[in-house]
Amino acid sequence: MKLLIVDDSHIIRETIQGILRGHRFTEVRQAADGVSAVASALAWNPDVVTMDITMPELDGLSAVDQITAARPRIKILIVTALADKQTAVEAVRRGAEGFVLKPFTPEDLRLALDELLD
Amino acid sequence: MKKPSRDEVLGRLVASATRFFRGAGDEAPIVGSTVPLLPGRAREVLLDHAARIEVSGDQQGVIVFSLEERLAQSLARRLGVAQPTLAHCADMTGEAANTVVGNARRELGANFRISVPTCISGRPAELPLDRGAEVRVTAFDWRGGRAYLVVCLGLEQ
Repeated sequence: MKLLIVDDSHIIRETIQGILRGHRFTEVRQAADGVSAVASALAWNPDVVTMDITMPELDGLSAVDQITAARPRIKILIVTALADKQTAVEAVRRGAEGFVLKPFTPEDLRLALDELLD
Repeated sequence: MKKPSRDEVLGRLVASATRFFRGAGDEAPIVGSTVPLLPGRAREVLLDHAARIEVSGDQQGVIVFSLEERLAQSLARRLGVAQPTLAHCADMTGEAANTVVGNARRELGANFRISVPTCISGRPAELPLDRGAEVRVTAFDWRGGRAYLVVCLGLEQ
């Protein structure tokens, strides 16, 4: 399975990759902003995208809109520090299927991925 | 949701920063009193790395989260970076600021809107804040390093 990790923090992208590589995913790519995320998702067609929200160029929720409109089969897991309920509801309304709050543990992330895929 | 007062926002941010450090390791931070930042003392709260977040919506203003190098390195090591570089520390400071302020939206709500953090490294001489608004500072000591949470919110309407 293919995983696209989207976050403007290099450390967070590497952390997520370290946790999830080998956990169902054999191919992993990264994007550092919403514009690159949309381009990569459309060109590479991953099975799952982990998506930050607060990012430069294009925010994660707008990127979710564009990805789900063009590739509705791609599953999107939001990974964000924004802890308000309204953001979670909005993410789901736009097509995300899971939500993990930062800071997260490896277990939080694996569990959310398992719930998303099973 | 009722618009939170400046004091409530400040309290939520300090609580969020305290939770952030406590969750990052087995050591709780020592949290100082929240005090006004006196004019001309900005340099003292600008440590090796600082991340600036603009606030809009229910409140207008700026939040700066400033970390000593060793504290930023400790946080980066917790995330698996064996030998943190300056770039790692700046990245870590931005992520820490985003997490502290973003997590506070649990209580403050989605109308406490925040920008992407911008990071400054190397102890700049001036604090990029809104002029004329009151600035409050809280110190955190954790794992042998210091951090400052600097909150500058506009006067209440």
